Amino acid sequence: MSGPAAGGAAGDPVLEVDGLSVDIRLRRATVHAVDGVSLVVGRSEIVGVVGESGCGKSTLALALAGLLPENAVVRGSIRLGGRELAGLRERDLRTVRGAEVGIVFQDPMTSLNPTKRIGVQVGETLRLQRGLSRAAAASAAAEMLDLVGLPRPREQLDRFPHELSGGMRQRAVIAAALICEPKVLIADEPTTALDVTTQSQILELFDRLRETLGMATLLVTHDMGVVAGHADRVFVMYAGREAETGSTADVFDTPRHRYTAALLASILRLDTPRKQGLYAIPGRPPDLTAALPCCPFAPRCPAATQECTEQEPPSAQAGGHRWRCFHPAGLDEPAPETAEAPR
Amino acid sequence: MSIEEVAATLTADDRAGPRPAEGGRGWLRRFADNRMALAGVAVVVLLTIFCFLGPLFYHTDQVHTRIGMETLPPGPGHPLGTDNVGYDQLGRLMVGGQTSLEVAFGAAAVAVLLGVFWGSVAGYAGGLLDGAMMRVVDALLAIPALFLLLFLATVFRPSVPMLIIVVGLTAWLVPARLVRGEALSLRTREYVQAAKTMGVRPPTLVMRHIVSNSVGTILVNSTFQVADAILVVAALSFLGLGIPPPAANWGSMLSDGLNYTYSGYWWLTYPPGIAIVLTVVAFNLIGDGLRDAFGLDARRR
Amino acid sequence: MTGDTPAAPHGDPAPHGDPAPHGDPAPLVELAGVTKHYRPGGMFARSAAPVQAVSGVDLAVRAGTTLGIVGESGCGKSTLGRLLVGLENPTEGEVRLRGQPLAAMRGAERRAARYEIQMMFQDPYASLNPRMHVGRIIEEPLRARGGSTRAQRQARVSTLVEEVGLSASQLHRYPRELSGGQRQRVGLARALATSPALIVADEPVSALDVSVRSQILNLMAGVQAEHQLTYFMVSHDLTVIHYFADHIAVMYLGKIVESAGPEELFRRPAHHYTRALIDAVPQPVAGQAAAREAIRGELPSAAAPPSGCRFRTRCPAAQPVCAESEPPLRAFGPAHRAACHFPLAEPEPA
Repeated sequence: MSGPAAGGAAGDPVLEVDGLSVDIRLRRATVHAVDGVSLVVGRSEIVGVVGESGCGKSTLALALAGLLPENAVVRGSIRLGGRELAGLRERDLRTVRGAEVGIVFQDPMTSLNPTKRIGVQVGETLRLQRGLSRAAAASAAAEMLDLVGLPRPREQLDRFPHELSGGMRQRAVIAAALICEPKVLIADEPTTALDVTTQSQILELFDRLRETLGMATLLVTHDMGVVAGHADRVFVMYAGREAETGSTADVFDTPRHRYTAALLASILRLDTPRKQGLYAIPGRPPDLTAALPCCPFAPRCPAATQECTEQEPPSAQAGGHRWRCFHPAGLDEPAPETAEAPR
Repeated sequence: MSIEEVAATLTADDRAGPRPAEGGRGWLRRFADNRMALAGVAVVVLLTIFCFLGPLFYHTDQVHTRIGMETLPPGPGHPLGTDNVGYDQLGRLMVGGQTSLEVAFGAAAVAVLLGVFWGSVAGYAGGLLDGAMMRVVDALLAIPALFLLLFLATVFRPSVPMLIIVVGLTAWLVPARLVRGEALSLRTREYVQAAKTMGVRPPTLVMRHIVSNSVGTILVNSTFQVADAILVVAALSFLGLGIPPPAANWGSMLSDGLNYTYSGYWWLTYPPGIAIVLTVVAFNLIGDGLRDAFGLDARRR
Repeated sequence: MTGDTPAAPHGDPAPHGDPAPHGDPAPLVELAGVTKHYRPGGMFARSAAPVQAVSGVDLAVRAGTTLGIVGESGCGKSTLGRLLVGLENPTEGEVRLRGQPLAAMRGAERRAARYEIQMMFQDPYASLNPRMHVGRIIEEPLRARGGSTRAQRQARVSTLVEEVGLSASQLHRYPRELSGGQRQRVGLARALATSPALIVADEPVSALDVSVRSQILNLMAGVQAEHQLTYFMVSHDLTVIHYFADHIAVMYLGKIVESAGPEELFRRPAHHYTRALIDAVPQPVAGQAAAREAIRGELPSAAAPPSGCRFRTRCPAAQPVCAESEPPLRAFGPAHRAACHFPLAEPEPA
């Protein structure tokens, strides 16, 4: 997966997050949206952040993009290319965003201004960050639209967002994110709003960017299948915290955290035996306004014991594979090869 | 929360209790946090007490004129002086306020009821019926309200019920438009579609699903209707088309008082004028507060 | 199959449907030549091209089974659901319940038929009136139908609530106090209230978290077994349809391009679009993204569908003849039909 990457070798850390916590201060409570997250995204690498709604993955993406609301309190460190981002003032953050961090959101219809032409929007950051003339920006925009696979890019420059299909709009958004050659691309559910056939086209595009540009990408999604097919490493989140992380092969073949195992067991696949009853994780995700000094998955976990509800589980690791669980799957049973998934 | 309590909220299956969500009274809380809006409420409450309960404690004769006592400046026995026919001004302010407020609330009620009915039916029905109903609204809007009011007021003998109807009839057009907009957007909601599949009949559907979910918009508009109605009544009375004396209302007090502007009898004009302004501003503040509390300006589901 | 169904083009075999090897062969619900075209614009719009949401669909659903309709946005599957449930009326063709066309029914018969077909909606956040509490929401179809006392309705609501896995304490809750999964349970309870024979499930789990989907699907299966219910399930998610449906129809731009049983459809897809859909499903097994050929191009407008085979603009096997004539519906197996000039599998001899 490592292509010829100018300016650094594949795997060099580009984005380093250390102990990041985000609290959202509401009137009557504080939501602990992200709690002690540490991860690294390297060159030519796609890191998938996966979890269900309310797990904090979108807040994480917003924090990395510097787009948190005013009532958010951030602790911890975010280093991009060695430079600390957390705690930067809005003015400085604005130069970082767009120039060094490219952002792609879920719904291309709302990330694009419906009253401005595509060419203008794609070239906008170039003009802002580097003061290019309109013509030069348009030219660069056309090149970028071509790179992201939009047919007849010069024609598309003059179109409005509503004239393009969903897939083409998302490509335009990706082009706008990439145009200043950012160090890292943060994509928050970039394909969720798209049809499945379009989704695979866009995911292929991310793969291609990884190979040709050496792009470091953080891909946030709820879809395990997307992560399995396209991410090099995976970061599983639950209740704002890290549950498990490692290479895609490690996490999918031998999930250690009980949530990961349960999630993998409950998702529908084309080879799930038909109409046999599905494994369902009982209950639902916790409310994040309570700071829980215990394992947040414990109430729903088939393997939970008393200590799971009393202390936070320690972090254990094997090679690049890390998890936080008192009773990791597949380890305290006598047959270590088969990852035990509760059925 | 203790761990046990927290664990209790985490547990179980979907039989578990409600998840902590903002209750339906969230708007009330947001409204209560808005100081200007609360000030508006306070002013309205005080004014209402002043106008309706005041005369119980402060007796004045508002029927018999007292020649020889006219245009006395504020002094002992008459805290706000007397007007040009000898009525006590403070007492008149209270009694006039009753009329003004009654007509204002009444007219607002008429306007909102008629407007909600018209708009919800038009918006839900769509198509030709909607087109026809809204063209009626458009046509009426094109007629300058003041002239329409003048006409109606000369044709019908002025009385409180008549004023209520007349003012209401010119004011219902705006809520009609607003509610139609709500209805148009709400009728595509899935719960409305669901009700259709259940065979819920249109009148019930409109009331239970469309109007009840437009309450926020309707409430906000109602407060602005009251404010507008006060001004309209004042204007009508000012032009001499209000209720004839000895009945009083702030507008006619103001108009009578204006004849004496150059005589320096400030107590004839300022009190009713200030009362009008205070009431209108108070209702506007309440309306703004409600609008913010319901989050109606921002995009909402 | 059903003798009075109009023959498909080119005088060909029976329409898409699950042939009953035994038991009651008559389908519960049929769609015969159903077409729905929308005319855009208001009163004074010039005649713009109509949006052809559904064109010439023939389908049959047997009682007690699940028919799954799969396709992407704009294929018309949601419109099919709406046609079944009476929210729309077909421009052409018929919807039949137990052999009787719905359009021909009047008055009481029509109302009764309506309560036999109910709908479960997609969006748990928008399908429940936020100003009604759960008990009223579930009770509403019973009140609308009439002919029952309050006590009877309350009793039925209590039964339903238990059945869908909620507790009686939640009857007085409002939708905003419930989670997505709980709301979907309420939606199912509401659909079950009038004891329908068929429930149209429009993307029943698409808006739910992955871990909640299993709960709801298990619930739906349980309810189906308990009441001999029939489902008409519409989804863009092939994995859900594959798991749940007894028979699957694949739609593209308003037409059914292929239909078959789930194992057959996945083992031997005949239509290129089916193949593309199957290939596009992201599989949660590490490292499998490589081998597939992603489908090219963009979805054409439903107001101006391509001539001949509608899929030809994106099909890797398209030939000139595909633009000239619509492909005939052919049989590829006992319950397997597809319409393609150059199918991936061998058709059965006519």
